[in-house]
Amino acid sequence: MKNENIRKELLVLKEIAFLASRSNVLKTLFLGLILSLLLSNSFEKIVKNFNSFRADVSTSYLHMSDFNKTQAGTGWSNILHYIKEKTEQDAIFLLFRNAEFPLYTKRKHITYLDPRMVNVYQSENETTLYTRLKDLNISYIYVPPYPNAVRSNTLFSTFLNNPAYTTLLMESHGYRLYKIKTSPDFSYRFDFSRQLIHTPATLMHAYTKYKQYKRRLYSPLMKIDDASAYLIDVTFSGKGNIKLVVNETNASGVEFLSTPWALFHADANTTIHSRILYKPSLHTVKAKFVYIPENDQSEITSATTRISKLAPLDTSAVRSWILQIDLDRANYFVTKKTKAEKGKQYYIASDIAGKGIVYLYAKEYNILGRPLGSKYINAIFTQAKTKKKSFSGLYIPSKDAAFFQLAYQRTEDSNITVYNHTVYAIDYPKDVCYVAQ
Amino acid sequence: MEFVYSLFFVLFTYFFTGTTLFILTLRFYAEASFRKYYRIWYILFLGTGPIVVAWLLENTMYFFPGHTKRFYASLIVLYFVLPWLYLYIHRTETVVKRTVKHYIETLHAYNVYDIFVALAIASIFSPIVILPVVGNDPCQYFYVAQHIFDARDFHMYPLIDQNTNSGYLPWTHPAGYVSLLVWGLFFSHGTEYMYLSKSVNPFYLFMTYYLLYELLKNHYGRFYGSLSALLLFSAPLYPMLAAQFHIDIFRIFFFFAPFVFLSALWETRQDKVFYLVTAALACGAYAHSIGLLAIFFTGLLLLVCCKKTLQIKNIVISSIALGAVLGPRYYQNYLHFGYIIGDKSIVWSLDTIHHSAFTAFSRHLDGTYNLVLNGFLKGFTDFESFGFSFFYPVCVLLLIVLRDGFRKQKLSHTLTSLFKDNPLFRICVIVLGIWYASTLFSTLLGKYSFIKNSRYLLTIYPFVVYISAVLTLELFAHRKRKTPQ
Repeated sequence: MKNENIRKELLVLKEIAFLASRSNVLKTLFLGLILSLLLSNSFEKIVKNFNSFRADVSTSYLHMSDFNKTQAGTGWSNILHYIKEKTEQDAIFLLFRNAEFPLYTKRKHITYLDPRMVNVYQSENETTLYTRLKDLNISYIYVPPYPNAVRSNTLFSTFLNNPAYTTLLMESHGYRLYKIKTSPDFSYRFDFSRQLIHTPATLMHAYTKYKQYKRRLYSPLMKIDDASAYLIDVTFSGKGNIKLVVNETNASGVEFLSTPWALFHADANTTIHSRILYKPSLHTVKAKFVYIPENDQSEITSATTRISKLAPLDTSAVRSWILQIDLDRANYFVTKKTKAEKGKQYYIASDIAGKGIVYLYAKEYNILGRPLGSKYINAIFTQAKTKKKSFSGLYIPSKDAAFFQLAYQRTEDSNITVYNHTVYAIDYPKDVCYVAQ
Repeated sequence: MEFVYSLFFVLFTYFFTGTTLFILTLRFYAEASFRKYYRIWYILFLGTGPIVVAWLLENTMYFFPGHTKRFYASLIVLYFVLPWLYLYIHRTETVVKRTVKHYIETLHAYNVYDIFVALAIASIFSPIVILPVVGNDPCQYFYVAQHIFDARDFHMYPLIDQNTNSGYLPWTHPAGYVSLLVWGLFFSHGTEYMYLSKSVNPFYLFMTYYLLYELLKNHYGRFYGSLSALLLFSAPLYPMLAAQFHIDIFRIFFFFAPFVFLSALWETRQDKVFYLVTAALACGAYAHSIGLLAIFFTGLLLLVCCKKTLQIKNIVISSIALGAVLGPRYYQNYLHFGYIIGDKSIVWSLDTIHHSAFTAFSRHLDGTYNLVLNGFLKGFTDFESFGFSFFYPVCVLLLIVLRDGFRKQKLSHTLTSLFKDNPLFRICVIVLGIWYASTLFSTLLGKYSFIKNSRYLLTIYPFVVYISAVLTLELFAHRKRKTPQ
């Protein structure tokens, strides 16, 4: 009985299909319906593309040159206008995006894929990198708002935003134009290079070396003076998890409890470089650094610790720093809301480990606390789970921004840990005009 | 005056050159057995005209650099006037008259609907005046074209002279597209106005649609032909690339064209058509390096369909023709880079840069799962770029199978008759098969050349569209059992 019902229903369907197949109108309507469904997606995309450039297509717009038409729909148009109007005619630009710049400015340039850049990428430190860029007569650097393998895996990941060497001249929708300083300026207090390399006199402990240890390692007792912060550069080889803690002693000789501080992981035969900011407790007069292997399998084969003194930070400086932000648990990490001060720029330094791409944004708020939107700062790609990479960003608040939060965001397939997130506020150079769009 | 120059550019480049080549070809292909292909061949020749201009311009600027715009423009025009003299001397005007008369007669058959569709399709030219060049690759191509135009010298292609600090673009592609952009700049009002150069891709989009329409019309009539050819716009990426002036629309047309000639070869099995296939392959390989893949695919197909034409004489003639067009560029590539073709960079090859790891991660291709899903099956998973265009033929095929089952016909009935009646359908299916086999093979070798970018998959897009349209019309329309005269 049931089968017969189904057969009847099928017969009815067959009848309908037969009638439909004989009707040209129905066939055309059906074909039209399929086409409209298939084509709607394309239509929507094209309309969006058109709208992003111009809502009203006037006669004057149609007569514009291509470059003038780019004004409405691109992030880089403002920067190219700035370049054409404000930069020297014979200046050479380093391009990390080789597209619109040559076409619309026709200025001299070297692209990041130029074989001459190989030497620059192999620089041992930022000063050498700076010198090699100068050897190529490069005066400006043009950077797009997305990561690339070259910027992520060379010293450019920190060099670009280091105010000792560059000044951010303009940014527009994440595109940035940096000017390379005519000579390095180490007047910035957080400039690590000066204290570590160029002025060794400021080092408190230049060298502490360990070899073949499987047990705890203690640095010599270090005197803490009036500096509010110290910079610890750690380079070690070995394997396993190694914890670094600090034992602090007050004026009465009482030793504080060891503070857990940073955890490193190294595979055998890999060398780990890391940079950590150490801020002593209020009553600390002496400190000792201790490396603690996590278990018997952990082993340090060699370690070098350089400790440099940072001068007392500006009272208005942001001194938030977070040891470790594990982005495995969430795709997004946001720091607490901070006041954005006029005339200041914010230098963000951190170490990134893991595999994936991390974007650093600033979420801006007006004086009433209402969100103004997000501002791209920098992005990096990292592929080594164990090796930390230094990462930096320079954030200049928008005109209406009264508060900001810094946000790290990872892409969907990544596994990222951010260490030692540190933010410094510094004065923006008075002689340089910064333009934000 | 600029309007006159523009009009001259459009009429000469997109109509006169192709028509000249077509009429010249008719001189040698006047047999009655070829007449049914004339309409389709004419479209293919209209597409071929501009690339022949590009080839002539490149060589003229290479051997006679640094002259004025008028010098080059006059020479190019002269090259296309000479064939008419030849035709006049050889009294070919009767063939021409007959063909033109035939076209005028068929024009009467067009109705309001055709004009409406033509106008709708013509809207794809609107980006030329509305949108600027902003994409990464288009900006690079237009910059190189401007640079060569300013110097009037093709010796500087590719851009690898580091002393001038005017850019470093170590391309190994033949200069077909760049040369055509340079040709557009000859008739533009200054290099900052690039309307004419921008017209290249919308033109080839229009020609691809028109070609598909003619191909489908032959089997299913004008109404269904024009409607189903609209499936060309079902992958959002395809019209988007035309609106962004990417090279891809241009190169895709030339990748598809040899196989349309090949379908005629499969039907007629005449050596004369083999030469047309060779010419189309040369144009394809001159348009873009991916044309070399079309040569490989065609070779395989010839082994299957027309072994007879693979005689020593034909192979030698083809090799000489292809070598004449491509040889100089590949020889120069070898001198400059040490290899003939490749997308390499000394910076990318640095171990510390981890370029391939970055490429794999940023394009979601790391790991076997991602390679299969986002690489091999990209057409089915990247809806943003391809919409349902790759799924659609599979769905229609299932409907046909269901219908055949419903009618108690043999499962293979529709497909067998399609394979028998339509050689281009056969070719499209085989090309898709070879493409996916090549993709699989290269992916297993750890290369991303076939899957790195969604644009690469569009190479086979006209084949997918043709299959989709034919399968759709098998459901809706009555197939003409005989191809029209």
